[in-house]
Amino acid sequence: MKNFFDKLLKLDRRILFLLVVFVIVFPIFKPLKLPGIKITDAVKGVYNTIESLPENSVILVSFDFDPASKPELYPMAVAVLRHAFKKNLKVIGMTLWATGPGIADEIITMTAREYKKEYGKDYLYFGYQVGGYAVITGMGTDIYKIFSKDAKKGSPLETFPVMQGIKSLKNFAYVIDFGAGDPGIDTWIAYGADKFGFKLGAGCTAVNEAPTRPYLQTKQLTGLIPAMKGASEYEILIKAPDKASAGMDAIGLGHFLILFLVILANVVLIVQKYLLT
Amino acid sequence: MMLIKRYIPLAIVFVFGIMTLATYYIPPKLAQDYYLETMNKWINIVAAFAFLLALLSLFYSHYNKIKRKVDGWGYSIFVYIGFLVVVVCAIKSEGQLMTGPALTSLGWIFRFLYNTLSASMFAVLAYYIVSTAFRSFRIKTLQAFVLFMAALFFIIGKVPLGNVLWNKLFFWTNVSISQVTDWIINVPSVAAKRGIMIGIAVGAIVTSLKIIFGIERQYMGKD
Repeated sequence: MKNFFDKLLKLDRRILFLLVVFVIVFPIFKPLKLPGIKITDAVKGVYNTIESLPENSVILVSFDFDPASKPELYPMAVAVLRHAFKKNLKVIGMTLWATGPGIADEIITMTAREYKKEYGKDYLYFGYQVGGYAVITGMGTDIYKIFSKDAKKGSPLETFPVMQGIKSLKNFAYVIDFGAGDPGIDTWIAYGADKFGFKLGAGCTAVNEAPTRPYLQTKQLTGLIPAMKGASEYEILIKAPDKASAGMDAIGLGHFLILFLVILANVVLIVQKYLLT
Repeated sequence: MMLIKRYIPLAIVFVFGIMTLATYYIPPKLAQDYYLETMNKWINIVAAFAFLLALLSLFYSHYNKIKRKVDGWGYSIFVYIGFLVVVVCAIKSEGQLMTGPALTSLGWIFRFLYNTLSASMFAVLAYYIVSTAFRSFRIKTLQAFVLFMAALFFIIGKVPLGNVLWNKLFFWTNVSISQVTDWIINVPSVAAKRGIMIGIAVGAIVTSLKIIFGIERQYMGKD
C-alpha cells in the first residue's frame, strides 16, 4: 500500500500531461454543453452600455493584447464587435501593443464583413501607435495629431465619413479596452477616462480580473468582461454562442482536474502520515 | 564632462518633471494645447529611438554569442534570419497584413508563425501548472489552506460544471456559489488589491519626487 502511494505521488509528469490533453481535447470534439453559465453584473455593464447607445454612435475599441492572450480576449472582442455592428454602431479600432495589430485587424475586418459594413463609413482601423499612455493623453486632446492616417489605406483620417464629429476621446460614445497587461486597462483609466471624462468598459484576462475589480466598484469602468467565462456570458447575451461557449467545457474540466489532483496528493500525504506510520 | 553627464540630464528631468506635474493644476486647455501635445510628440520620438537602440543592442548581444560560440549560439543566427525575413516581407507588403480577403506574406507570417508559436508557448504553461500543482501544492499551513479554499470556491463558481455540482449538493444552504465567489472577489480580494494599489501609488510618488529633485540618480547609470 505504501509503495502504491509513493508511486502515486511520484507519478510520471507525462501521464499528467496526457490527462490534461484528454480533458481539454475531448470536449472540443464532443461538446458537453454543460449548463450553469450565469450572467454577471460586470458583463451586463458592458452589454447594457452598448445596448443603450443610439444608432450611428461611434465607439472606440483598443485591442491591447498579443497572440499569447488571444484565447481569452479574442472571443470577447468578437462578441462585443458583433453586438456593436448588429446595433449599427460605428466602430474604430486601434492597438497600443506592437504585437497587437495583426489580431486587431483580423477581428475588426472579420466582424465588419459578417455584417456587410463598409470601411471608412461604418468602421475604421487606426492601427498601432508607439507611446502607451502618451498616445492616450494625445488622443484626449487631438486624435489627428496622434493618428494622422488610417492603417489600412494610409489615407488622412479626416477623409473618412466615420470620423465626422470626432476630434478627441470625449467624442466617442463609448471606449472599450481589451487589455492583457501594460499598456492596458490601468493606462486607459489613469490617463484616459479619469483625465478626459469618457465612458470606459473593459475586457481582461483571468489573472487580471482581481486587480481590475476595484475600478468596477468605483464606477471608473462601466463594465468588465473577465476572460473566457465573461466572453461566454456575452455570447449568451447577444444570443450568438461561439468559441467562448465552446471553450467553457474544456476550461471547466481542466480546472476540475487541477482541483482533483491537488486534493488527491494532499489526501495521500495525510494517509501516509497518519494511517500508514 | 560632469556638465553633460550629470547636470544637464538632471536639469532636464527637473524642468520637465515639474512642468508635467503642473499640468494637473493649471487650466487643462492651456496645458493640453501647448505643453502636453508637444510632450507627446517628443515621447513618441524618444520611444522610436529607444526601439532602435533596443534593436541594435539585441543584434550586438547575439553577434557576441555567435562570435564566442557560446552554448546555443546557433539559435542566435535565427534572430538575424527571422528579422530579415519579417522586414523584407513587411516592406513587400507595405506593412499590410491583408489585401482584400487575401493574406499578404507579412500577414501569413503573423497568423501562421507568430500567432501559433506565441499561443503555443503560453498554452504549454497549462501542463506545468497541473504538474506543479500536483507535486508541490501541499496544504501544510493555515495560509496554504486559506489559499486552497479560495481557489476551490473560485474554481467551482467560475465554471459551469461547478455551478451544476454546487446546486445539486448544497442547494439546502440557500446560498448560490456565485454569491460566494462574488463575495470573495468583491470584498477580501478588492480590499487587498486596494491596499497594494495605494502602497504602489505612494511608492511611485516618492520615487518620482526623488528622481525629479535629483536624489535618486540610478537611471543615469554608474558614471
